[in-house]
Amino acid sequence: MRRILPGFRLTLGFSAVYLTLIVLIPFAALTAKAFSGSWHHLWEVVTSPRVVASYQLSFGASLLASLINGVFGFITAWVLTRYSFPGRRVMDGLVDLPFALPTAVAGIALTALYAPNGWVGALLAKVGIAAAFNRLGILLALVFIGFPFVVRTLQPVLISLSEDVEEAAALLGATRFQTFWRVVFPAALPALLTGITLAFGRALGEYGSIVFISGNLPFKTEITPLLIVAKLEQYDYQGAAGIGLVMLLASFGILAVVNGVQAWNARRIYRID
Amino acid sequence: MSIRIDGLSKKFGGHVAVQEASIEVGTGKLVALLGPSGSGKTTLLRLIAGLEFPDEGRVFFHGEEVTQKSAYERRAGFVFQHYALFQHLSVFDNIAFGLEVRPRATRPCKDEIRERVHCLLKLVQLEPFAKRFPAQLSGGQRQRVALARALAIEPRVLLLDEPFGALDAKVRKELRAWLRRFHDETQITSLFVTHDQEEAFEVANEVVILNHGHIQQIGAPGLIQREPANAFVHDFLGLDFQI
Repeated sequence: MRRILPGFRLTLGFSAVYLTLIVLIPFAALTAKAFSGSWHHLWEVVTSPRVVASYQLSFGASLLASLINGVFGFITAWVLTRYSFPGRRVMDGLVDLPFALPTAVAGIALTALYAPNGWVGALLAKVGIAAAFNRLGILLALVFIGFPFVVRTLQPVLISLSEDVEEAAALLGATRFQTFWRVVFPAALPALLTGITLAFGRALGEYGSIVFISGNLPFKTEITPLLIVAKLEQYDYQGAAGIGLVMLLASFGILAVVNGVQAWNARRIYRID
Repeated sequence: MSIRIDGLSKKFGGHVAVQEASIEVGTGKLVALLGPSGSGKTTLLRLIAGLEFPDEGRVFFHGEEVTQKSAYERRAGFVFQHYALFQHLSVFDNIAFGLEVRPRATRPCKDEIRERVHCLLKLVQLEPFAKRFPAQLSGGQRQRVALARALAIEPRVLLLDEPFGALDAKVRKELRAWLRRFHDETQITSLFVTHDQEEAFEVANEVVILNHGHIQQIGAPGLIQREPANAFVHDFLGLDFQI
């Protein structure tokens, strides 16, 4: 087949080699490690009650955090793209901070702030809310690190939505809320879903900030990545790899479902038959 | 339903978009706003639709002042140059939109909406395409969906902003003839913006020529061609060769 764009073979070859080195081989090594010892031990580790409790916490908290980010990320992206106000650029820059900050630093900062003797923690303690060393603390940290993903995926989409579509809705008698809910929101929904998925993926793998704020109590505030590190410290490399593999497969499954839904929707709307 | 505008002016920052424009469009007329790009014709149309509000001047629909009324309260059907269809809704749902968003008290029932939408689909000759999405239609089909959508709210007047501007020459001609026929049948008072003089003179009963926000001449196509009011109109229509 003749192609107009040059460099197809070169770039494809490069991409294939690069992806193999960076992604495929490490994953293969992880899988190999997990199945290197006795299968019985592997099964025992990945299904032990303490590990299962951590799956529930990790996936549950990540899901909740990414949904929270979906709501507030949407509002932030909306404000940043729709209105012009003094300080908009500063606000826009602040969004990236969770990207830029080493997560351990974020963890220490959040812990200092939300611990019972911290600024915010002390205020919350007065109304009977403990926001550190428990599951709420984990949620706070996950919301913090996932926030930019939603905002940054939504911004270009909200900018590109043409004004005349909203004018058309208004001309047809839609109230502002109806225009938002029936016209703007559905148009931004695929990007929002992508942003939430990215935030979710990021939250699942988060370790640095959580270990400071969670308190790491078995069955209560132990996230899965922490247990992987714990296994490594006990020289149980097979167990660590096994838990890692379970997370990997679960994440892969979730991503596949979300992308499948997106692709289905795109085909439904853009397919020409 | 007639349209009258009286001394409309609109500035954007320091730029004068429309300056003291007065026009009267009789009931059932099809009028073209013709001018080069930047002449203020789209702004004028948007002022009439209620998408912009004038700095000075007044707008009347059938003798009733609507200057401060919202776009929807004016009940003007508006067709955008780039269609402005709702991409995530099917053709059917696009056309039904104006009925679906009504408050419960005035919203027609499901069956009635379906019947009205099918009536409109028939009118714009798109009956087989009800379940398609805008991305699956050609430009000419999209523009007809946009027209049907605007008509669904039973507008008092129809305003079209460069309705054929984004279409290729052949489709443009077909749609132009179709609009002419459509107007003859429905007799809805219509105003359309174009920069194409052939289009304006072929379709409209009356043509309004604009330049730099000022109205240069208003008249029947034949009259304007016979007696251009000034040098600009003469030049713009390319009448030099007749001297």
